[in-house]
Amino acid sequence: MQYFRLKLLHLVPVFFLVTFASFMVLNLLPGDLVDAILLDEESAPPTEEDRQALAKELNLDKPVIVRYAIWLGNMLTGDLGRSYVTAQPVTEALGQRIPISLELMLMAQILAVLISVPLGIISGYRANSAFDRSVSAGAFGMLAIPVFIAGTMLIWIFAIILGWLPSSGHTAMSEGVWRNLEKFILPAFTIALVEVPVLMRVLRTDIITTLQEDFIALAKSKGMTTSYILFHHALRPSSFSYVTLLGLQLGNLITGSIVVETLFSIPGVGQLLINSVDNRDEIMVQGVITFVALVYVGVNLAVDLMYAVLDPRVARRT
Amino acid sequence: MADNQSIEPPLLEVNNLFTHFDTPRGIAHAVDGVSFTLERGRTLGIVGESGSGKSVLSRTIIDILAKDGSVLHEGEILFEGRDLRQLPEKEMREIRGREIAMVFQDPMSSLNPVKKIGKQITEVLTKRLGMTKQAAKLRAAELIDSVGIPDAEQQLTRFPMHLSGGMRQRVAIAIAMACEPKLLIADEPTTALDVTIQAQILDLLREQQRERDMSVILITHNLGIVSGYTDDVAVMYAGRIAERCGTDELIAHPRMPYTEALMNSAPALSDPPHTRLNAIPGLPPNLLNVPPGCRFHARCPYVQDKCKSDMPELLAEDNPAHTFACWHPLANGKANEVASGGIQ
Repeated sequence: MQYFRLKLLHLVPVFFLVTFASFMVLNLLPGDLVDAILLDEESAPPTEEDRQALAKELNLDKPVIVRYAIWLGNMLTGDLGRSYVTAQPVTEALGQRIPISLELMLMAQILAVLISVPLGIISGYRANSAFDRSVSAGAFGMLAIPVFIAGTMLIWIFAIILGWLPSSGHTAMSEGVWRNLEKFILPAFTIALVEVPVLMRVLRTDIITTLQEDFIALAKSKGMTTSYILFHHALRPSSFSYVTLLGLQLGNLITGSIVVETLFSIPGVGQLLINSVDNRDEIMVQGVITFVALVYVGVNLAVDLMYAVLDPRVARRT
Repeated sequence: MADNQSIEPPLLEVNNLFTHFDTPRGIAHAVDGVSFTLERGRTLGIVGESGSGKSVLSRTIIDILAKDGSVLHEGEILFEGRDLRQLPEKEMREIRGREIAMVFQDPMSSLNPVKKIGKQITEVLTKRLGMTKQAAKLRAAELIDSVGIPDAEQQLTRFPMHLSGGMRQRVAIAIAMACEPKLLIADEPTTALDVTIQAQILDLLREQQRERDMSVILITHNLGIVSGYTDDVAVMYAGRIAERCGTDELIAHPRMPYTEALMNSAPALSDPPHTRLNAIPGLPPNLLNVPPGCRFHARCPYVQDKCKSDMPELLAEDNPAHTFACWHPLANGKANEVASGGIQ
């Protein structure tokens, strides 16, 4: 518990730093925000009164540090502001997008784990065998293929040639679980394909090291089967770097799936971010960044806690 | 007892065993033609410097070296008359842990750091003996208790990090005893422990051996341990047995100069402080490139020309139970002459 509280405390300043820095950076964007908003509308050119009224309404007449303080205060009460463009509350927009991105992310991570764990373990156990070498070659090949190429290939094979899965779009869960899931399969697989090579290589390396340990020799001398030794004795002590990497990737995915969301026309957080940047919807961008920061901080905390679960010695050291 | 032994084969008979490692720099001759027998209920000490092949020998017997083609074997390991090397992996796994168990050198690294002690014992009982989880827990507590660890039941839920080195080695012994093996291989079981704990662990091993009528192979580099805890000794040097006989005989009449050198290099408690340690000059030969002739010749104070060219075989002289591989053995000590004179 002590360990948990300490870790939690570390993450508070990180969160504030990220939101502050992003606020400042957004403020540095060239051009006048009021113009950008008003000129977008098709009505007559804005008068000076209109401009001042809007600036006052959005607090744009105040210095940036004050605006950050106001924003921070509202944020702490759960109010992230309203979109400059659509007037939709930022929290509402996020609320619509987050479940979709989360579902995609979870499916991608589950697929990545299901593929990389057995591959990593077996290639670590059979290091330098024909199996290991072909898996490694495949992994390096995958690493060299950009995600949009991999995604396009998958669409081509599974949606166009074989016709097994839909190529794009999103259907709400309420219209049928399978209809919802089937649209996520190809994008999730695309993300997993990019992650698997790295995850697998990291696990392989640690498995090779662990298998040299005396406790593995002891487990062998107890007459345990190879698969039992690999999954019950070797996997957990070998999973530190793996879990760290998985956490980092989870953080990346929440925005890093922008390309995949665009490719497969999935209305997730990534698309929201891209559209908001296009429209100079700064308050929305700030909202997305805040959410991403929260996810990163949360994932990091979860990873740190996982260390303590994976190895009881970690919790004891602090 | 004597009848029994003549009918049954010895518990363990190793015949002309080779274990070679195929390394990028060449073949390492870690075990190079080793033969010995071990009767039921006896303790055999295997002594030698680091790199003499003792640990590789033990890991070859229980067959836990890598199986990726980098380890080459030859020879026979007859366990109750069955050649372990010919057994398929599945049958060999039946032998491991149940018939032959092992205790490793460093209890800090031989227990899995992320598994509870209870689980590390019960997994042997449930997986190997088919016990239920409940029964295995009770038995594990009994085992913990039998190796002299207090509050046995509480210990089951603790992790290795909660225990001291000596306690961990006791746990390792409890794990080895779980299936009542017929042969225990203890690979330097006390080397990593405090001197005061060493005697406790060795006494515990002896006690377990007597209770269960188990045979023990005790691997060590410490002749003091050999003299107190073994019935027979094999002195290993550079992958081969250099001398083999009863423990008392070896201590009284070492014939191989290497044995003598080992004895001389053990510090005595009676030595005054700051006495210079008597080390054997030079290093053991590189196992990748073993010299011709007697493997000890480069370091032997009595070396002759023949030692440099011809390899001596492990043979007996007057006492058939005392074999040694040396062209110019040490004279059978005076004590021996007096003793044999006495018999006449």
